[in-house]
Amino acid sequence: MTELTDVPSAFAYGDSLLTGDRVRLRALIEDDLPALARWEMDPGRQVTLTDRVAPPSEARARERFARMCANDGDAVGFSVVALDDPQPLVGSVSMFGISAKDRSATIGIALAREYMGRGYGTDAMRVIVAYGFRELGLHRIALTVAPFNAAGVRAYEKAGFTEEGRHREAVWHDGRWYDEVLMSVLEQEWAGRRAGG
Amino acid sequence: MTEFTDVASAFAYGDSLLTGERVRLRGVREDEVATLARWEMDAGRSVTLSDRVAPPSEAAAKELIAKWSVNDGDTVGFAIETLDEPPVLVGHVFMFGIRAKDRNAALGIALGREHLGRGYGTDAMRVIVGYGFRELGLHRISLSVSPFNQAGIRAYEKAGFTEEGRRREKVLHDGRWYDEVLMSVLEQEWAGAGA
Repeated sequence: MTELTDVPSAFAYGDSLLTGDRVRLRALIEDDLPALARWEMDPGRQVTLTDRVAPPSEARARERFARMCANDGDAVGFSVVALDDPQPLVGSVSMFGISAKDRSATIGIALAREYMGRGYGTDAMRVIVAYGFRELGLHRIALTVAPFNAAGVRAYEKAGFTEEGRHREAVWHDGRWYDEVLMSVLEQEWAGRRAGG
Repeated sequence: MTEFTDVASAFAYGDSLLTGERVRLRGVREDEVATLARWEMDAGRSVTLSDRVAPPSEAAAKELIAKWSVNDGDTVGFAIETLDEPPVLVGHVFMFGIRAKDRNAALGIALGREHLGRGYGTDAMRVIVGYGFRELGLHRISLSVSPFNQAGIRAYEKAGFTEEGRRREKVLHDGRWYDEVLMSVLEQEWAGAGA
């Protein structure tokens, strides 16, 4: 917890809030849209991101990101860039379903295939979770993940999430049913980890 | 049936799901909408695609293509491109009227005139039918076709469809009545054909 006492301390908080060790979250820029839309239209990647493989049109994919990252309502969305030189766009992350009453949010994260497995997703999760608790005043952050996405489950665990249940046989692909794994992190768990270093 | 055990097997399923031997189905790109709309405005082609020849305006045609391709509701639609390098856009295919209760879908396919007769339509039909049963969990996929579109009927039969009836004297063109041929393929027929 930082106490803001002057303009430099306020700026410093804002500057560091969305920055991690490997990645930075930033506002969506127009130049991000072609790549984000292309990734969204990738049927292979959709199997781990959604319950139904059905690549959208480019127009609808762009609209989704534009809406998700407008950040003028309760929901927030950002582009994820790696802290390299130059800083390549590696994915996007969003929190939605936020209501003032319960202060609960759902996270969605999607990395480009070519940037998976380098720790960018884990770091982006740490950053958005901290942002949710520190700046948005959330109490609970939840997500769902496919049970066969073991890399995703591990990354979410590293960012503080715990499996809290399963939607049993919720998703159908190619003649088989799969559970949907429910994970969440609560305010006090996150604060405890943070105090613990 | 594939069982996913990790991210790689999940990706491999998604990568192969929409790919056939001659064509691949994928999300409609912005730079394809104009071509797809032009085909939609082709009067000759609409005799085999629709019960009424009345080419829509370009704006209306573009809206139709957009609506058939957003893929976030009970309709799924894709561009059809060849597996050549570079790939060539040859048409559009979509399934609509999908409801959870009956798990039925109706199917519409349209190729650009210059791309007819090369097996692209047959292959695209095989791919979308496989997709409907494997990923969308459908029980039945149906379509209607004009009796004078014999190439279409042959392609649909190759993709597993059977004639199940006819709407008698349903369509009028130039003083004559034509039937509408009803075709469908059921889940168990498709699974049996593959096994």
